[in-house]
Amino acid sequence: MEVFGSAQKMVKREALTTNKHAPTFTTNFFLEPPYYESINLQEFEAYAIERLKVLRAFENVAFKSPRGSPEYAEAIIKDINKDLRYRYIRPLTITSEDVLLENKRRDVLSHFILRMVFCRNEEQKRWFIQQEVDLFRFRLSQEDASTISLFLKESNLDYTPLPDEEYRNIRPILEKSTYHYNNSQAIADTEFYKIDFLEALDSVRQRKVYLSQGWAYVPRRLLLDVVCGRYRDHLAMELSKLSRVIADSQEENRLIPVLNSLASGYTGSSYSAGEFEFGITVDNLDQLSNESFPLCAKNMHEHLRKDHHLKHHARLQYGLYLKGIGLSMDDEMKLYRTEFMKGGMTDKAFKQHEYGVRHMYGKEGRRVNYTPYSCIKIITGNPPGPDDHHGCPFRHFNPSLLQQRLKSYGVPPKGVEEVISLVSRGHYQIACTKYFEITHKEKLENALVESIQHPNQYFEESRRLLHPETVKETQSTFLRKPAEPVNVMQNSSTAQRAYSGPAGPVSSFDETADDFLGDIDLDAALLDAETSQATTSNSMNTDPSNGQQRAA
Amino acid sequence: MNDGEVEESSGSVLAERRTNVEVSDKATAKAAASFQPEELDELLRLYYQRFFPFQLFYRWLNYGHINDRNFFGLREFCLTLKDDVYLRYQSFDNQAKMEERLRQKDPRVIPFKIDIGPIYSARITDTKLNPSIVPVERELIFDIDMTDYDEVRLCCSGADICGKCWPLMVLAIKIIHRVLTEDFGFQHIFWVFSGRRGVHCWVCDKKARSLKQAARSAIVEYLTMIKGGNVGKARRVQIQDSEHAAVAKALNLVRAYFLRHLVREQKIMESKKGLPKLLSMLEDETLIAKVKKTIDNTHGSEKRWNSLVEEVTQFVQEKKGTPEYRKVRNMLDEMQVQFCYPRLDVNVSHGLNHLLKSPFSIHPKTGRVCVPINPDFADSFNPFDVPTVKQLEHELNVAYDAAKNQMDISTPDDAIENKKVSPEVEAKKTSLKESIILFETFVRRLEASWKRQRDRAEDQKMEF
Repeated sequence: MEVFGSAQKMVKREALTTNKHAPTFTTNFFLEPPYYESINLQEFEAYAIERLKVLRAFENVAFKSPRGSPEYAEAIIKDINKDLRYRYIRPLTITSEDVLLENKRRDVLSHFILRMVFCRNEEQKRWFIQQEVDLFRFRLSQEDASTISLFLKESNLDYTPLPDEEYRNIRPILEKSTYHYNNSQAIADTEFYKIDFLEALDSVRQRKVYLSQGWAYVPRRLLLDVVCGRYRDHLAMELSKLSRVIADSQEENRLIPVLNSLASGYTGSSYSAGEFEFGITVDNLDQLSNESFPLCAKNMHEHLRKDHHLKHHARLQYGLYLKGIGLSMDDEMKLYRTEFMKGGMTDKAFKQHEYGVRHMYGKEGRRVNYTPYSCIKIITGNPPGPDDHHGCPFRHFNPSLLQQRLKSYGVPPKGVEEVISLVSRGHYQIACTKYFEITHKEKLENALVESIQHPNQYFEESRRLLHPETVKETQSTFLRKPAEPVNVMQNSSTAQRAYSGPAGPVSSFDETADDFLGDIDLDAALLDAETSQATTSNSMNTDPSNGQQRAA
Repeated sequence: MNDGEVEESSGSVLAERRTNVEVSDKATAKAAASFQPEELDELLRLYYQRFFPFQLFYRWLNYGHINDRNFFGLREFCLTLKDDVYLRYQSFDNQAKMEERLRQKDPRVIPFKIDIGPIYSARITDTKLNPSIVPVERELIFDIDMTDYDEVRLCCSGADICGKCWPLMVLAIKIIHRVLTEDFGFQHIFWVFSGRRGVHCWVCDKKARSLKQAARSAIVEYLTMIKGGNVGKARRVQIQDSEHAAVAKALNLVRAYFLRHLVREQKIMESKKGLPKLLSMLEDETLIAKVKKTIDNTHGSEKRWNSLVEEVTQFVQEKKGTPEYRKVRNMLDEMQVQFCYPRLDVNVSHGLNHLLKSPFSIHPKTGRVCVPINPDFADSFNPFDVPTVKQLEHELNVAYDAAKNQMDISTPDDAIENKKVSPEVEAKKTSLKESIILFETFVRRLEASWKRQRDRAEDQKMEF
């Protein structure tokens, strides 16, 4: 198994796992599945929930402060209670060996259980990997320098420092080309590693390091990123494998329901077409857009009507959204055709768009039934360039444009101010929720609203409020009676939401961009993992690392 | 229509042209040979027969897999026929099979456009793709399209290009080529004119071909300075790492370009379209007013630019020590970058399965050949000098007539026409000559690198 292979040298799995100093490392690459033992379903669930709490804490803290900052570390320590901290973050070394071993056991078990929970859906995978990598990075950063180098060495990641002579020769270039917070940090960087750029992608991507002839010159300080990148790839690969194993397994009565319930708090509905019936046709789209579209869809709809064109990403985002709210393929085709023709497109040129629409509805190509984009996907996804209209207005609009747009939709000045202030703090989804509250004030009366997770959720809830008779499907899970003490704004506290998985706002990329190991590319990594996996699928079933079967 | 008829009609057209055209002057030839999209199928038939360099093409895309005969056959081609009929997932076992397909005579199946896809894990044969067959290898590709610059172009927009905006492509080639070679250490880079309004880049090193998605997008982001987001903001570019070696080198090129092309040639500071755009990028209302005032009293684009630079520099100086300084300190560079830094289409580069128009194919709208561009002489490349397929036909006829004159008068036409000459040789008689030589050089260098690799491998074997 070469999943953890270095681009520079092949790493033998044994070398990584012969961990002679086992108890001293908290950091764990989780290469080894748990030892064989039987645990019952209650334990199984309890362990999962415990780790979920920790991961949620990491998610919440990352919204508030940039990763790697002192505030971040402080908040992590504060937000995770003592027992969990000793178990998952930093062991209490002065304690009995039994406790240490038990903690380690739980750590490993819960990690592998959550892999099973989150491996079956792309978005959940994304979330899980991001949080696990953050946890990993935090653990590693808490170790002292000598332990880290020992750990790297043990893990066969001991990169060779740049020879002194070479360092002296290019020192001025390195100083200028290496990312640093301040000058003293630049001066402190005296030890550099020359690494194949493929191993330092995160630093390369952000131009944090000097690059020459395919070598990245990484200062010691940024080596952590390299290791985390490696861990991320490893996890992505493992999760892809696991999802196939689970899909192939015949199990469906005992474990799968538990996994489903653990994961269900996460996304809820995927809003694929046909779940609801709102009676949508091309003719009432304008009215619906005015009444019930979230800002992102409204923006795209209005541009489609005005410019008679939408660029690729918007066509996808808007098209899938429309599909999700129940517009038929023929109607969607009609909509695009009418508008694009108005914009001067010929019948012939429209042909490729026809293909695109059919593709979206799973009638062409791989025939995948694509689901509409969720808020997280839109917010963290590809930002709109010039003349693009996809994306999240709260995330991607310049504040003054957003302000102007909100005003034109009749949001009162006080509301605009509130929304803008939320946006400036990076709470895009809460800002959207606020916008929902303001625009549905009369119908809402005193009901409180949970935060918007999905543009299609926005639409459904809006229809439910405005025209309940058009909604055939189930009861809303979105509105809470005021009696129930749930406050949206405080909603993200760990205790209340630990079970519900990753909800809440997504952190601002701008705020944290500087030391943020972008997960922008996680999709890509996941895809890569699947690709390389498809070619080795034969060896998969016999892979010893599929420990979940044993754990169960 | 059956094959025989097609044969006959095209034969007579050819003969007619041969007698009509007797001018050899290149410029007149060009005028006489203006391309009409309606005759594309006719011309393409000739082009695939006489010009398309199949042999070099195969040597390139087979990447030295001598023992692995299947390698070329794993490649996806997408052929676009008349009236936009797409045939995806086509593959050819070898050069002969490809020649056979492209040279089919029925005009309904002549490919108007040829796109190259990735190498798949197994042979693809049908339009329906087996989901377990996945792309495994792909050149690192870039697609730079003039339409992406519409926001900042002063001269034309959309599919049009002119001598004023083409230098944007030259700048893009220079900046990207430097990064790919010096920073990433790639050696086998093939730049190709897209046939109308842009350029394509094929990075063909072994390492580049086996890059994963994450690595591809990391390279694109390393090259990216004009990011998305900030919808509605006038100055969209933010540079915080102007000292990074790669950025500093790019900025030098950008500044020189901006001064020469935008300030001096296009006179942006006096242009009705460009000046307001440029001024709005200053973003600070008082600064804009101040600069406007100074400019009103200055004449000449360059003088105006100089005074703008002066005002902005002073403005930035005054902000020193305030929290805004970070946002304004590089504003001059940021504005220039927004006007001319290369704009890459991320989606083309980051996936393995994106299709890209094949070098040496014909652009169906302009009829021009997608010829390679020598990055070292990018400045002297003129897209309007690129031959159209019509012009090539004309030139071949001229060459043919000259050959005929030298030969025995009594030699029948057929004998000359049917003489077997490889397109690589034939094309060298026309204005495609330089392009073929460029392609040849590129392929030879690739082959030399495989040879070196094999030698090294053998040396290592010897040591044991």
